[in-house]
Amino acid sequence: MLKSKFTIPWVLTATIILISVQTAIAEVNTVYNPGKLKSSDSATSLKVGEKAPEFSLRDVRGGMVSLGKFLGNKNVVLSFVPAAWTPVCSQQWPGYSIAKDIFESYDTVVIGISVDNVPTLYAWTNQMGDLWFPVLSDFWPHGAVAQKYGVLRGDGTSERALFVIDKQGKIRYIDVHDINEMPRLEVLIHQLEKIQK
Amino acid sequence: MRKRVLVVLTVGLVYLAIVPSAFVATTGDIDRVALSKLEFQAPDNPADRSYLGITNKPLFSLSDLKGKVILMELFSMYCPICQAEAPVINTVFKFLNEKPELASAVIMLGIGTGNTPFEVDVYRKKYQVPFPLVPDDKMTFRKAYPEEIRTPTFLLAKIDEQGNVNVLFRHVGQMKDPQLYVEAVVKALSGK
Repeated sequence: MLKSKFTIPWVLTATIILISVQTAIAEVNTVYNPGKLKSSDSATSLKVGEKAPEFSLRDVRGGMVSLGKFLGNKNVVLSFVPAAWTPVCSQQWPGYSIAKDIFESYDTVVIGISVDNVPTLYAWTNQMGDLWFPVLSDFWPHGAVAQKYGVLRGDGTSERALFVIDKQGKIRYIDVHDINEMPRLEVLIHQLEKIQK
Repeated sequence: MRKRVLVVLTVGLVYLAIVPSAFVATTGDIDRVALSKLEFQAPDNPADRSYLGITNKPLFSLSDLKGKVILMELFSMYCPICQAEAPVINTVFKFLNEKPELASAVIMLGIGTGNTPFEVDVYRKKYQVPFPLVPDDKMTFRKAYPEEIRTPTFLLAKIDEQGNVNVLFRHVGQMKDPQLYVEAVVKALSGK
């Protein structure tokens, strides 16, 4: 009995230390690293100057968002990212989020799209801070919008792709980027500058 | 008694296995060797150049900052943890400057790992960062280190009069409390 009285505090202390360490580790280690991937695995047939395909998808904050909603009103940057909780993707939208003033100065809204389901996207985007733009789930029918835009990869994820669509609904820029790399912000902003001229 | 020893040993082993990769306090050779090789684009702003004590060179290395102690933040404009910590780090700068003995001893420098000058500028403006930030779009830091560099990483380094870089502490991740950074700086400076 005396023995167990002494053992319990030790086990408790050990457990508390382990939980603290694991909690702290979790803060930095929430991103799954799939290693280096094939830079692209699809071929879009869309071209600059063509009309952007219409879509309507679920917003993680509720409701549906369609591309048509912005027609005549805002330029749109469609940002497809491959998958939640993976490298690059987990930072791309937080970067766009702090550049809100720049996008707004070009009368532009960002729309984030991923093939993940709403609960996954909800949890993932909540730890990105307060994103100012809609994040849409292209989960079901799986990757249907990514397919429409020609950026669905063979493994069911999407490319890391950017489409700039002007207020008339025309595609002005396509960047199916190397999935392993971050598209440079200034390159995207330069495309918005070109629209405004 | 044997059980107690086993529990302590288990906790100790798990701690040693996990902790060094996440919260590192090291003055190891890896840091010294890696840091001495690195060159960064010098800030355009004359006030930043003057604060760092560098002349009109397009590039500078940490070895140029002889006799200084530098609190460096490796950040990325895209990193949400860095973004969340930015106001805390600004307060660290304020706290250090409120203490004359620290203000004269320590300078701060942010290095935007993987960020272009444009991206660093977006971050600077967004968070009104009061200390110099420089881009590292060639991923100099990440290439120099044999291990993965996570952002944010904080390094306190002392550059001796010969330009050798000695790391006094290294911390990965948020501390969330500016006072903790100041305490860590004070502790490292006193050699504890």
